Parts: sequence; C-alpha cells; structure tokens
Amino acid sequence: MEISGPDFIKGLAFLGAGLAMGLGAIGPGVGEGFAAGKACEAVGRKPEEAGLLTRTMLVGQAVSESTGIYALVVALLLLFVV
Amino acid sequence: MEDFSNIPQFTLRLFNFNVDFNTETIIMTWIVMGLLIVFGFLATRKVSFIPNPFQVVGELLVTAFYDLTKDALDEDMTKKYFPIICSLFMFLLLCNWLGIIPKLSEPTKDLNTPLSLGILGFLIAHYSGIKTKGFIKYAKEYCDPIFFMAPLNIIGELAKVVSISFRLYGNIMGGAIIIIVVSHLVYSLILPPFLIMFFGIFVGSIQAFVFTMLTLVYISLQVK
Amino acid sequence: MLDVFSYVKACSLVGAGLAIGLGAIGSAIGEGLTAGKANETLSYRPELAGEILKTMLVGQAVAESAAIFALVVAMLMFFTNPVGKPLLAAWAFLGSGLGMGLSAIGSGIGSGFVSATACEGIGRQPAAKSAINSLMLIGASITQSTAIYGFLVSLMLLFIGFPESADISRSFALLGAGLSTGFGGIGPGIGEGLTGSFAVTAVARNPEQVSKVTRTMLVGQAIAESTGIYALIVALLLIMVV
Repeated sequence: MEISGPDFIKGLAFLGAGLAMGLGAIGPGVGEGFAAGKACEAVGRKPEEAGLLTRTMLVGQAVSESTGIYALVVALLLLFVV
Repeated sequence: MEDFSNIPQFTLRLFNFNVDFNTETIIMTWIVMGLLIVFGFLATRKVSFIPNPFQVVGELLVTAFYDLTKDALDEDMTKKYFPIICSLFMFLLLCNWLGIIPKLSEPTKDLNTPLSLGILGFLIAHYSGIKTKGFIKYAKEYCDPIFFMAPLNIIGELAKVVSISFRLYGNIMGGAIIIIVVSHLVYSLILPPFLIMFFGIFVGSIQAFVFTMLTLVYISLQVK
Repeated sequence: MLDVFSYVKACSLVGAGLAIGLGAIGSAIGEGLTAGKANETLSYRPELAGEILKTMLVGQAVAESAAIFALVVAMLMFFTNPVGKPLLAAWAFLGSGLGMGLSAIGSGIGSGFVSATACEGIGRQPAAKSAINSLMLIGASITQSTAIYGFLVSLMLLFIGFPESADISRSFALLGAGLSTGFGGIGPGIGEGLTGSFAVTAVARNPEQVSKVTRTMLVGQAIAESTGIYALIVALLLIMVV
C-alpha cells in the first residue's frame, strides 16, 4: 500500500485528536466528580443551604471543566483544520 | 454461533421503503403482554380481605413502587406518574425473566425494545417538564451556565437515552451470550442452570429496577 | 506475505483480547473494594450479615456490568466472520477493542466506590437500608454511562460498513475514535463513582435528606459526565464525518 506524506500527517492528526480528547477527559471527570461528591456530603450535613451549595458546586465544576473544553477545542482543531 | 446472526425477520414493502419487523421480538413481547394481562386479571378479579396469591404479589409491587415514586415526586404528581412506573417495571421484569424458559428469548435482548422504552421515558420526562415549568423556563435551563453551552447540554440530554437503553440491552445480551458460550463449552451439563439463575433472575431483576428508577429520576429532575 | 483476510482476522482477535482484558480490570477492582468494605463493616456489626451480604451482591452485580459489556464486544469480535471485509476493518477492530476495554476501567472502579460505601452506610444506619440501596443502584448505574458510550462506539466500529479502499488517514481516525471514548471514559467513571459514594455516605448520616442529596448527586454526575460526552462526540465525528 502506497502511503503519501500529507495523508500520513492527516491520519496522525486524527489519532492525536482522539488521544487529546480521551486523555483530556480524565482529569476534569475525576475532579468534577470529587467536587460533586463533596457537595453531596455538604448537602447531607446542611440541607437548608442546598441552593447555595449547588451553585458553588456548579461554579467550581465549570472552572475544572475548562481543561476538558481546551482538549475539545484542540481535538476539533486537529480534526478540521490540520 | 449462528444464534446471533440469524434474526427472523419479516419485511414489508411500504411505498419505496423496506419496513423490517423482527418477528421473534414481537411475538415474545406479545407473550409478555399476555402474561401481564392475565396477571392483572387474576390479581384484581376477587379482591378480598384474605388475598389470593396473585393479589399478594400485586399489592406488594404496587405499594413498593408507590412509596418509591412518592419519594421522588410530589403527592399529586405521584398519582399521575405511578401507573407508568409500576407497569414499566413489571413489563421489564417479565421480559428479562422470559429467557429462563427454553425456546423463548428475552425481548430486551433486541436493542429495539430498550431503545423505544428509553425514548418513551425521555418524551414523558420532557413533556412533563414543559408542562410544569412552562416552555421559557424549560428552555432557559439549557443555557446553563453560559448560552453557548446549549448544544452540549442538548447532546447530554440525548446521551441519557443512549445510556439508559444500552445499559439494559448490554446486560441482557451479555447474559445470553455467556449462557450460550458456556453451555456450548460444557455440553450443557451442570453449569447453565446456575448461570441462568444469576444472569436471568438476579441481573434481570436488578436491571429492570435500575431502568425504572432512572426513568423516574429523569422525570423528577425535569419536574422540579 | 500477509493477505487482507488474515490481517483482519488477526486484528479482530487482538481487539477481542484487548476489550475483555482491559475491560476486566475496573470491574474486578471495584468488586474487590466492595467486598473489602463489606468485610470491614461486618467485623464491626456482625449481626447485620444478611443485609450487608445482600447489598454487596447487588452492588457487585452492577459493577460487573462494565465487564459484561466488554465481554459482549469481545465475543462479537471473536466470532465475527472477516471474509470480504476491507483492510480498514482491521483498524476498526483494534479501535473497538481499545474503546470498550479502556472505557470499562473507570466505570468499574467508580461503581465499586459507590457500592463499597453503601455497605459501610448500611452498617452505620441499618434503618435507612432501602434509601441507601436505591441510591446506590441509581448512582452506580449512572457511573456506568461512559462505559455504555464506549460500548456504543465499539458496536458502531464493529458493524459499520467500510469502503474497499481508503487512504491511511481513515484508519488512524478509527483507531483514534476508540482511544477517545476509551480514555475519555476513565475519568468521568471514577469521578461519578466518587460523587455517588459521597452521596451514599451523606444519606447514611442523614437519611431524611435523601431527595435533596439525590438531586445534588444527579446534577453533579451529569456535569462530571460532560467530558465523557465530549469524548463521545469526537469519536462519532472521527467515525462518521472524517
């Protein structure tokens, strides 16, 4: 099978897109889950503050999600731009 | 292993489309529905203070699921949504147990059954969400936390349908595959009954319960 | 000289091995964690042996389902007939095995966290056992979602039709799709499992607040899952669009 240079680069870019999104999803997943878990614990302790706790949880998760979004952006760039 | 590739089908030609019916699944679903109708008839035919066995089982199921639904929804909502939750559980339980009987197969082994039930639950949840909150408030929830997250939120909602139906399908299909492979390896000697006990009865009950509870939870998330 | 048939067949066997080999890791760790916690709780409260055993078995059965998905994919690949399949199918088989196997790791471990704390919680608060058990089932099965996305991508890679001749980039795209859902399933699986286990602990401490804790858990898990969904989107783009 004949393999041309640009084709090979494109193929490895696709592989890189998969790896970027896959590995990039590990950290935010664990971190957001941990945040949500601690929020559950806090709601169990102080149920009257459930609204405040949920809001704080969502803000914290949004921040820890940002690296996941970077990975998504890079993966989409690798998919469609390279 | 031709058990998996050989699916009995009935093709109907409608205008320019081929409409395929999976006859085995349809017949098995009819059997389950027939059994449920007979059960309902026997359980409610002579309601008495000293109940007959069918009435005992029926009361057990109804009270257990009434309490579960009441935990997740409000009092008046419970009256509305409890029947579908309870009947969904009974239908799935019988579907998952049907494979125990030789020559019969689980309708949930075919992806179409769990997928259509998942879509049904999705539609019910979103309909009730729009009805209780109003369309504006319902649509606003998709723009949380920022408005351009809306496509990702919508995909997240759709992924719920995929996960709920593939969970049931994968478990039942996995059990069926393990039973066939192991029976083939040991020439159907001693092991298969135990495997059928585990995968058919134990895993089948758990997965039926999980599917029902998740449908209930998705409804309650939309309503509140 | 290798012909296409033996190449595809070999890759399908490697894929089957990868799927069940990697996929068994997580479930086994999770079930072991559950059994360990159950034993620990039993040493404090031996009189609750029946209840704890029941919870342990149900929790382990749920944690097992990630490995069952891997087994389904492995068996389908093992008994698949590679006659007439193009060379691209070999890469699809590899991607399918990696996607299913890797994504099952996180979900298995995560479900194990949830059911381990459920055993502990029943030891602490036996009166709340029905609330703890149903919360454990909900939490552990939502933890499974990323393994289900891996299952979906694997089934697509197995059954989708491929063109006879394609450039090399397409084959890397198929491998990348598997790797994306596979690795992407690890993090959310573990994270959602942590969420579920904290929620079960909270309910065991304060059983009256079960509905509030359940709602917080579901919202938190839905967000923790979002990166897993991004990985699924990238994988679907790699399979369908590219």
